[in-house]
Amino acid sequence: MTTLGFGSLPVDTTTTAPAALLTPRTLDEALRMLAGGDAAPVGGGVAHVLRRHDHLAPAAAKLVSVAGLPGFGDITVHAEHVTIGAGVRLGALAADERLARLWPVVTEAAGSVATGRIRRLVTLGGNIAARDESHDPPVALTAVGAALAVRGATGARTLAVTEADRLRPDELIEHVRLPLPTARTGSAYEKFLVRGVWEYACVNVAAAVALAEDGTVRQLALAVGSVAGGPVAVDLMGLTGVRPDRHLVAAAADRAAAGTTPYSDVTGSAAYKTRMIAEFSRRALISAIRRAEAPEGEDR
Amino acid sequence: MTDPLIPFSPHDTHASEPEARKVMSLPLRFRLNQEDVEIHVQDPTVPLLDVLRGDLGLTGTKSGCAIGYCGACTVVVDGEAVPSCVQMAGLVEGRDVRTVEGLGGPDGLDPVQNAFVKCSGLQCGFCTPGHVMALRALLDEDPDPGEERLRETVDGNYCRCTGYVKILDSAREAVELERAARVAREAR
Amino acid sequence: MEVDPATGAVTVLELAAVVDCGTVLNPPLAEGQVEGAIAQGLGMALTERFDWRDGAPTRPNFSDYKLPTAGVMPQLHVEFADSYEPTGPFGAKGVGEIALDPVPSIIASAVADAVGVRVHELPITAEKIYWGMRDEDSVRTTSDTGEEGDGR
Repeated sequence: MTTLGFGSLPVDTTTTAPAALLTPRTLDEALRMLAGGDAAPVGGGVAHVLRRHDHLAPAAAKLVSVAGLPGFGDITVHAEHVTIGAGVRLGALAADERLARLWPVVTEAAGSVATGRIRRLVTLGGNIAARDESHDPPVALTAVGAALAVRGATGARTLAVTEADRLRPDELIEHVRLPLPTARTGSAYEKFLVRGVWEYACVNVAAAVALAEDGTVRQLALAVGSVAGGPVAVDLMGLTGVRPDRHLVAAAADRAAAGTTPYSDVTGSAAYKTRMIAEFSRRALISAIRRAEAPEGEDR
Repeated sequence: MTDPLIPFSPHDTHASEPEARKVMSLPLRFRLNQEDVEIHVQDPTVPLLDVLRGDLGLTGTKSGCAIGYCGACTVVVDGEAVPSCVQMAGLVEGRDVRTVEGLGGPDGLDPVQNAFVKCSGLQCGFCTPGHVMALRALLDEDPDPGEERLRETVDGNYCRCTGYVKILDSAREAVELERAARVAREAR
Repeated sequence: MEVDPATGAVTVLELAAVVDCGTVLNPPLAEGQVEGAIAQGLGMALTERFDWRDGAPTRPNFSDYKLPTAGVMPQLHVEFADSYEPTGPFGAKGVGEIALDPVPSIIASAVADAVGVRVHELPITAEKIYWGMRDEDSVRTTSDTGEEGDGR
């Protein structure tokens, strides 16, 4: 979001050398380039073009194009987990039928971003690495308990989706790993566009519910975006083991509202957003519960 | 303008690894409206929009907001509609780009363009190239997209003049004109 | 129109306009002008918030200043009154702006009709309707001078 800045005009950066764009053929080559400390990864490139538009210096002297690295564009369902390559475009992610069955919250979140045109450019890795608490895919990925497979010059490590701010300058996201949902799991995404037109969400909420054989709640997750420090995984301790009725939904929604701090901006005041966080947590949970209760293969 | 950057040193790569290609003040080569072009770009993060309008003089593609929201800059890259104001020029190397100047030919306008003329789908015309390219990409991918997909595509471009009614009429007419053109081609 | 009582969000479903512009010289363009003006009126009514500080706009970009897109346009019914203006060329009058002006007030009246909340300040946002429906001491979000609780 922007408001008019006051003070001196933007510094003329035409005397700053433009970045070089490097196109490594392998991941090892890319990591070597990033190890130099003067390089930054490029996915779809949108963030870098917008930096330039804002008269900011390039993110680094060398920009390393990683979206096309081998395997980075793949979505693979393994025996016990799903991997989504960091180079997968949000449009491809939204259209993936396997993911739409397994984790509709993720495909819905990816499909809710901007317009189809933007979704064809933006990569999942870039969208997460932007560390923007309003971005939709990280909210959904937080609710499903996804992890980031990170590679750097010194080796590989794993970060939670909410730990993207701990990415070091010499690291890149290789892929995102999602657990496979158990039977009787449902998930849903809600993005409230308060003015009816596409923009950053007023509030965005992701919900995931797993039911036990007796129909009670085994696992419950709510993640809220567009709030301070977001996406925030709401603390729902103590709400499992009961039937997924409106009391449970109300209790979880209240925790989401109480446990998050939205900010006032052009889409609404913080007070309004707190009410909407509760409302859309309710809606996301109800959809997730319905999907969890539906017989296999129906309306997931 | 800025100085050329220090050339990439081959000593930095492993001898057996293929050398990474570097795109900067080297020529940027891509296919544009079915011709090969080569231009020199100092800054690979410059938007494709600036290259098209500034370096190549193709001003049919418009800059409405420069931040990816309005769609006036829409061009087709490798068959997909993208906003050229946030498409990094350096990443277009080796790819296929189509702009509104590439539509139609000696036989006349493209069916999408004809549809806009027929249905009065434009007034000031500033948003029109963006709408036309978005619909062109859609119909290339799916000649019978259905009302919902048409609306979704038109929803991605702003227009201040028309209220979108006749743009949607033009989109539906474009489907019909495409179908008629295809039938005529197959009949020959 | 519909108002979502849980959020205050407005969806305009259908809108009819009967325009008196004297002789209609070019029907498709005249219709187009009316349709476009209605879109601008909807924007003025619902989505476009213009603030300024010290004489300069605070939101000079499309990410914050939202224009209506095709997805929010209602089904339109546009007709022209049978009229003739003797002092105009071939009996014509202006057509460009007249369809814009009434739209914000009819939206406000429709909202009042739907949920009993009369909003007196544009844009008619979901939030204003939400607080109005609950008749609570709402947090005043902004003033016309552009002072507001921007957290970003």
